[in-house]
Amino acid sequence: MKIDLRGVLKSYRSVRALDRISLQIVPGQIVSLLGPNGAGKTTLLRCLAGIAALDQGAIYFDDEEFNRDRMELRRRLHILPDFPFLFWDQSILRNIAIILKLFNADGPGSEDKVLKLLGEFDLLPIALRPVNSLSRGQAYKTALVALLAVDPEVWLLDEPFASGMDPTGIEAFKRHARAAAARNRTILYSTQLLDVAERFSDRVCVIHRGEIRAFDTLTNLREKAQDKDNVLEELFRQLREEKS
Amino acid sequence: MKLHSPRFERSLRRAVKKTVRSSPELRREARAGRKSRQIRSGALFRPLLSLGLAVLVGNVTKEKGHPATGLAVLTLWCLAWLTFRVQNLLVILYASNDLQALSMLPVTMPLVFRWEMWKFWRGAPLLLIDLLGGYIALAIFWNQPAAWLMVLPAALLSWAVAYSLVLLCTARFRRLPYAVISLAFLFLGIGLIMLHSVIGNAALQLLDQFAPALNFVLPTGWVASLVLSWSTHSFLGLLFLLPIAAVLNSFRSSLALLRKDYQFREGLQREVSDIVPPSVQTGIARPANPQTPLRVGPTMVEEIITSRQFFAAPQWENRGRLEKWLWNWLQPREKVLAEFAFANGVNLTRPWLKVLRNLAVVATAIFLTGLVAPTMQIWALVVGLMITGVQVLAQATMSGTAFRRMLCSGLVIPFHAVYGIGYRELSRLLLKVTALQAPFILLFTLSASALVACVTRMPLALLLPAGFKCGGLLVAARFITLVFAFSSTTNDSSRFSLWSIALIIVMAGFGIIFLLLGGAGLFVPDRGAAWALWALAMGDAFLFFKVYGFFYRHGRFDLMSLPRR
Repeated sequence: MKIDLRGVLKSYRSVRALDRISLQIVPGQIVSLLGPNGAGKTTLLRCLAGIAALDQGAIYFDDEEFNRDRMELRRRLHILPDFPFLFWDQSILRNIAIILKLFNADGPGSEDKVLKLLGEFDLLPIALRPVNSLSRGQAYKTALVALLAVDPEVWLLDEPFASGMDPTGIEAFKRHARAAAARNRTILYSTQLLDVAERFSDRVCVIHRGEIRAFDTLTNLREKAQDKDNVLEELFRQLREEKS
Repeated sequence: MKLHSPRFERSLRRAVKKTVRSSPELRREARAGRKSRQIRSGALFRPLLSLGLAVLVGNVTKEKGHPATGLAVLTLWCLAWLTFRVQNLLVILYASNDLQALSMLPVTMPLVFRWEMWKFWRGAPLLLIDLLGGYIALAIFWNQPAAWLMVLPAALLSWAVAYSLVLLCTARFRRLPYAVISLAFLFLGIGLIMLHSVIGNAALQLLDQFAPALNFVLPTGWVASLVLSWSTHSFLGLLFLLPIAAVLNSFRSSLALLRKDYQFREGLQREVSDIVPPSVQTGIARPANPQTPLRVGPTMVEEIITSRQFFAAPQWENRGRLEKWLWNWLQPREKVLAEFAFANGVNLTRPWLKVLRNLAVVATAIFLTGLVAPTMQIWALVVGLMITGVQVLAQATMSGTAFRRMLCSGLVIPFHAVYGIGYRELSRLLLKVTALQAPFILLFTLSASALVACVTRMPLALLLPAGFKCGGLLVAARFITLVFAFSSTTNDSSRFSLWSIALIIVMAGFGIIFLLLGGAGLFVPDRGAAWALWALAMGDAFLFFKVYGFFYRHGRFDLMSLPRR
């Protein structure tokens, strides 16, 4: 699904979280959102999910204007916040079942997908346990398995690499994300880990004070940068110097 | 380790201010931050409430010509405040947002207790202000220097008794239904304000009749009784000092008990048993030895998944007839949403059977008190209808966990926002749940009106239509409560923008019009006009729901809010 942001402005009173940003993301890409704390990364993800309301501008998914009432569009994307929204008193399986049904993704074949994903994320032996008896990483994996099983056209993930997942989980997530991008899914995730962003994204989007400072492939960014080995570090250093 | 050090905070604030002042950039950001303060309607509303109470006490005393009724108002106010504060204290002590963070700090539990209690005591002076206002109103009535001298000690003593009772109830009687009682007081208050021109005189008459008894029986009225005996120069009233002293004396022991019981307990759930109960048919051969149970292993979990058993929701449609009707009425998408909102299933038949049983108990109590003490009949009616009324309201406005929210990056976000659930579809489900219960709501209001007719000897032909209208208004009020439920998870009223102000005006306007039209529909003497006004009230509720939906769907606010302090 193509994502098109046109002059999106979002303020929290006098603080501009997103300052008239325009951006086009074609499908089949993994895009990492980078920026200092409070830059507007999470706000951007929330605007795309319809949680935060735009003050000005518009968001288009596949050239169709998006608003909170466009349920058919909303069900084509899935946001996974940094702290997963789960039914804590219900089991892992029950949580996954409810989420799959909400996204109308419980059709034939979904059970095989769930079984495979639970195995990959080491959740199978504990699948009948209530979520409130799990660790933070396991709870996140539960929400992630639900997202992977739903397989929406747009994945919006807030800090998936700071979620407490173990290396096996992270590797599995990366593998699935790459496969999904190959299937024309669009994956947007925010992170503070520059080395992860460098290795795991087709494009990086650097946001600073609600403005997009860079949105390009790493190859192109490297060409423009002086320190070609540490292109993202250099970008951040520049932002820091600009601030001071 | 100190959790609250004013000196340290002062010096830190000073240092931060100095740093901010030294940098134009930081100054700009700080200025922006200052503007982003939330509108706190409570700060404006609370002094008005204190003033309203003082005016009420003054007017009631003036109207009746003696202070007992005014003091009874203060007694009831303290009782309502007590129930509210007990709930408040329980939430502060055991469900505060900061408890999770505090449990990770190297602080002892007595220190956490002191900190949470400090938060509780911050709100304590409000009742003292209310009481001072009330006693000042009484002093104006008496118009004697001695009465003015009595204001401060009486207010302080009433306040101390009320807060000793709060601690006593929290420490020793925490299982009492404080939420139901405070909700009943709230509805009683709203009802009296709405209908004061119609039933105000009768209510005042009733209060006047039972004022001495209320002040005598209710612990929050013992200081009032003492004041009353002082005004009549009756030394016998000094006996009230004994129970007052006993209550005040309980303060320390209640606090000690609360402190002693305040232990951190990690919220660990018992691990789910992996034994498959004999009643569950799995299709897998059980071990030959009946003593060896069948256990859930990965293979079993795999079976549950591959056989799609895990998609099966609780079979709530078999719980009763109402549940079955609801299940048959719901569309497939609504059934999915029902699973989201009521993960453990919908309960309708049993709660209604409970309400009807309680109504039968009330009717019996009215009949029996009529035989033994006819003057108490009215109290049996009022208390009984208050309790069953709250039960009916809870049932009529049930939303399950549809509006469950989660703290996420410092903001509270509702679950339905994350899972792409719309305003219309979720509302339709919850409206269907209420609509299905409409006949029972009407049955309740009609029975209640029949009981009122029985006790007050008013004509049944007059009260039955009123009962029917009340039932209709209760059902229609679901549109309004739904709007408030959605609104509670958004920042629609906390932003200072033209849209927010317009929305607040629209919401308040529709709400007030509903109350006015509903009240007029019940009491306007012209029958035709009364039914027309009643129908307009129903239409107003529906319109309110539609207008808010317009704002909601067009993204005039965020589906997230700042956590409540």
